[in-house]
Amino acid sequence: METRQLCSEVNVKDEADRRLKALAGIAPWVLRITEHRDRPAPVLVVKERCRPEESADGGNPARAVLKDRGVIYGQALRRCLPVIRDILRGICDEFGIPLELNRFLAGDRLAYRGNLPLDDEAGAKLALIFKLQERLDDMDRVELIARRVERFSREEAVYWFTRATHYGETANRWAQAGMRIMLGGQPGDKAVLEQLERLRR
Amino acid sequence: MKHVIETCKPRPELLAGNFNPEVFTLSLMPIIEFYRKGSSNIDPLYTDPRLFFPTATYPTQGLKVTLGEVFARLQGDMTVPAIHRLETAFGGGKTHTLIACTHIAFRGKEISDVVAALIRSDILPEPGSVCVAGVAGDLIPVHEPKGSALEPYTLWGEIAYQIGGEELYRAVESEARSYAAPGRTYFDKVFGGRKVLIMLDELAQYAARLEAARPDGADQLAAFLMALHSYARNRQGVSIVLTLASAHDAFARQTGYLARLISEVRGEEVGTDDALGIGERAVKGVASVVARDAVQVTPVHAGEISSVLAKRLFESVDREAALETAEAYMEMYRRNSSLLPDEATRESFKDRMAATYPFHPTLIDYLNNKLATAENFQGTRGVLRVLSLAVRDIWLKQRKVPMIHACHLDLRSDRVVNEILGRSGSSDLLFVLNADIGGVDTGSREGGMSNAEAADRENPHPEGYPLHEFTWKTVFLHSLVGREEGLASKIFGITEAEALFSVSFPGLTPAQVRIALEKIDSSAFYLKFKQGKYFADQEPTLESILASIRRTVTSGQIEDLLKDTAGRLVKDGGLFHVEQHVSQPEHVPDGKGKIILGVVSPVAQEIDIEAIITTKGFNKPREQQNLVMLLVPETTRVKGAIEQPSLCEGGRGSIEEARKRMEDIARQVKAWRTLMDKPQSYGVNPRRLQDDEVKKRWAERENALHTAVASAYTGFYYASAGGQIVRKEIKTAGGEGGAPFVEQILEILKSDKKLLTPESTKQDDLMSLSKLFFERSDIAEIDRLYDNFLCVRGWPVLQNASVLEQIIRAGVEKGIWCAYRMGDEESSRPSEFYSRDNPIPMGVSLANKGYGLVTPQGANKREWSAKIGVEATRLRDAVYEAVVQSGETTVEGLVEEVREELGDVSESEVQDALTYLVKKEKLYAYRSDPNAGGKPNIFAGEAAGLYVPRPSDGVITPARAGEKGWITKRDCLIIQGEEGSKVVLPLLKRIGSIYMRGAKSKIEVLDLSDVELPGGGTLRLEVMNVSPDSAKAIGELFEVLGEVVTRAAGAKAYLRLADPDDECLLVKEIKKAQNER
Repeated sequence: METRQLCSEVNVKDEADRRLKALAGIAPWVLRITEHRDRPAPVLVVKERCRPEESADGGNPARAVLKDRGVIYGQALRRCLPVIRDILRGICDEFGIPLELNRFLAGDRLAYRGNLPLDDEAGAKLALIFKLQERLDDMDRVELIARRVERFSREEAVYWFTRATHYGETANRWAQAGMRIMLGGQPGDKAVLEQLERLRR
Repeated sequence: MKHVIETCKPRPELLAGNFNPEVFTLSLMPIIEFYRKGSSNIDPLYTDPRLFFPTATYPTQGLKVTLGEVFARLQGDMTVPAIHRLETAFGGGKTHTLIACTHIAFRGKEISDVVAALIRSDILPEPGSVCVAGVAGDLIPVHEPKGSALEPYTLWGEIAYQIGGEELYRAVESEARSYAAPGRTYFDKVFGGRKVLIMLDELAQYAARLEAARPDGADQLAAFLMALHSYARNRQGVSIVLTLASAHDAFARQTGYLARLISEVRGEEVGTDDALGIGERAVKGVASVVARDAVQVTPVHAGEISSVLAKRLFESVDREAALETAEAYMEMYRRNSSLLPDEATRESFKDRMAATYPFHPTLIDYLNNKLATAENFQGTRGVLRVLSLAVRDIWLKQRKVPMIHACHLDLRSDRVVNEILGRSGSSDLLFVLNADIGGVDTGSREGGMSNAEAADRENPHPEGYPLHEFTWKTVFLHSLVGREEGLASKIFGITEAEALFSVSFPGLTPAQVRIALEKIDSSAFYLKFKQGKYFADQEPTLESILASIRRTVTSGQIEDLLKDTAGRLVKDGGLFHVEQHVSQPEHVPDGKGKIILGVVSPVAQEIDIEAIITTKGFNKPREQQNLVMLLVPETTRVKGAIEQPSLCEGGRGSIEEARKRMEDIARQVKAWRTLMDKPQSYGVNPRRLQDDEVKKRWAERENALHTAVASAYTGFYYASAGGQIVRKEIKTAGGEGGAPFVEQILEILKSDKKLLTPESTKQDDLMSLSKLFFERSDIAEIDRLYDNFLCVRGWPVLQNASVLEQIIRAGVEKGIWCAYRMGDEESSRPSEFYSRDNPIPMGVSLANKGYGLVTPQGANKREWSAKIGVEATRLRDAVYEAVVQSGETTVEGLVEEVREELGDVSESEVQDALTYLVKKEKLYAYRSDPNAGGKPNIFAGEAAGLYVPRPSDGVITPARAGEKGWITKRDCLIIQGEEGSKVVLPLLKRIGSIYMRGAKSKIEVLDLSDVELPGGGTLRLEVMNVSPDSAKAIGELFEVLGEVVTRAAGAKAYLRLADPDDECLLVKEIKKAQNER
């Protein structure tokens, strides 16, 4: 009796993994948990699935490719982890059933390696967080930015993400710098902490 | 000093538990009933005069006066007043006096033995000779009763009935039944020469009821009293004792009771204000009559109350012990006189203490002056009830107290609480009692203890007294009455001095009590301090609001707060790269090339230090293991071989405890921040939070958190010599930016010789480093060494990269090791080699590739060190020749020429050689100076000490410089080059003899080089600053040399004579030889 139960549990788990992989293969965004040689493990990479324009000669459309949209690791990752979990918690499959992806990032030590499917909202938010935290030394600001991005609606997240990535190099740079101030305040501002404490749940 | 349980003996019924506190609420009527009917179900203590007088009666002054006068009057003494009014405002004893009168009136001489202390025996009446009429004003009916039983319903009817029974009543029935006050004839009929004692108790209440029942009731009562008084004044044998409070406070404390009485009479609900109106109207007339005729007596004076109380509660009290105890108290008061009220140190107070023993005077004062003012407390009766409960409690629990204070009242007992809170109308403060002090329901509170108990547990009294509970209880008790008027009331609250006075006793000093009082501010929920008084209040204090917020703080918030605080302890930057919130190996980056100080997360349960230092993730070895250092809080368990010293004995428990302590403070701080952020959400006026005191408390908590977190970080782990991971203790009180942490860590590292600083260049430092460097081989590449500093755990760490270069240079200078750099692949000798004799020039950067270190022995073995002397000389010669050949060139050109001659030499080597020559004045360097016309700046000799060649600088031989007229100051004769050798060489043989003959010139320099020797080989000879005498001495040398040197071809000579004198023989010879050529 017990053995059978155990078996069925294992099967359920396998089935879930299989479905997750399938979803990750088609999802508009993917969160990849991986390792890089020169960076402390793990490294989280958010990727967008880009479908190239159909070729003009009417031939087969090229395969969709995943493009890196942002990377986070180390201290910044540890500070943002609760936020990332919150963002992942909201992702559902096509039937509206929560995938509970946050369980892959549970605990102190992230053991899971692989791809997780993201929806548009989660993808844009994570990409924005990962982008904006680059080169920030002040971890309080990093967390504040992350928490504020997490509160964006889907539309806001996508809009601000495109503002930071789709308007040409200079405009992108300015947008990112501006957003860092807008969401995370000036470095060394004491109010950063107050704001942060208010946003924490 | 003895305790009260040893010195006093309470009445047995008190201890047996069948003591009925209701005996104190006895009234006059049951006693009179007892004498009429001969039996009663009330306590024999009151019905039996032989018990009543010796055991229950203390002979107060008022009692003695009253008894003496009343019975003298009855015996016919017209000089004493006939009418007595017992003043009841203070201290009670009214009913007791009436009962005493009743007993004596009925029993008279029969009981003369027990009343001897109270009354002269000659005025005692014969038993049965006195008619007694006692009326309780709150009991006799005011309406005509229904039914057939005879029941008087007027005061005068009642008196007639009591004196003469039914017979007399029937005789005067028409007047007795009339509501109109009777006249004189009535009294004649009723009293008729009898000895009559009339006692009218609670007259005011009767008047009020009568007034309520009939419109002119009170007026008729006043008329009756006036008639009765005037009759009694003029007749022998009639004495009247009545009780009536003075008009203004007749009902002041009894409005509720009055309203009830009047409602009964009216048969409808009467409000307290209406009742008071009726009462005052009724009493006014009666009171004026009584005031005119009656003599006022106070049954118990203030000073007598305690004796009365003791008499009623105790069988015996040890008076000597009382004095002894009072003395002990006085001594304590004298020592602490500055803290206490003046009263405490007065000598008279000692007597008072002895008199009130075993009760402390402050308790008696509290009960009489404060609690007894409550309407339902019933004055002295209430006091007795409370005291009897207190005494019973102390004896049953065998509590060792020197005297009984207010704080010894057991508020955890239901009966005491009901008695005190119930009767003082303060039941609404019950929750205050439970929360702050400890009451009946405290056990069911969260945590199961009151705030005072918690404070006692946190800071226990050395003798084990519940100091805070005692103190806070006293404050609470003093807040029960006078609450309506608040702080303006004299009886509400307690000042500090009074509180110290009330609570302290030998063993519990006033100073200790003060600590408990001060604690009120920070820990009590409802006790407060305002306008100099401590008191209990229903409005919660900030502390209680904070407590309620604390309950809503989540563990996640606490963790965040702790992490935040820990994250601020040590700031990134400076010597260390600081990595915050570390708990796993992958949290510490590898390859930073800088010391990494990992601050372990304060909420991490357990960490594996060895894993963090040796790996950078699961199954991934770390490279730069030597750079990882960890700061570990005592709240985290350290796994693995390294022993973590247990905080105390407890091991695991103590870690949990430390963590709990830290979390408690974090919880408090979080609550403060929440409250400060949104005070309105918690019903607090934001202005209240702007108070300095409040802000100070908040800041204090914030600091406490910082300190708690900082001081939790006591373990500093790193790899020490031999690669062992060691733990060092860090003690810090924190501080902004973590400077103390960094300082302590540096101190530890330096003392362990783990850290190399620019100062680590002493001989022994270098020696020990040399052992590390050349552990395996006598040669070591600097790049490899640098890697070892980062990766090998047993090695020290470098404060920064430049320290290594400084150390290497110091080691070279001190001859501990030599530095080298191999040149091209073909050469077996290094192209650069530096040793003690040839230190590393400033311009050389060891950071460049290819440098290595070798031990001096290793260098000797390889014959690298010997080579260097020759090489330098060769280079200098080449430089010199190059300049001499061209006569004048630039530094740039010089380098080119030397390279042509010697192959690959570095520019700096050439410059070094040039500098050497310039300093020796063999060559002059010059730099054109636009400001000095055509003449450039010349560098030579000592003036060139700081000369650093530039490529554009010119180089010139002294001779050419002389020709150009650049050297004007000094006159000297110079011959040089191959031409010169042709002059000098032939002269050599004769130099000795020329000087013998008197030549005076000093030979500054004579340098012969490339002189071929007959059997092959060349000779070089240099003499400098040779005086004429020296020249004579070495004349033979030159003679031999002159003979050996046959050919001057290829030989070069340089001769310089300072200040040549034309008369000098040598100069003459030289000039002659020059002319010959």
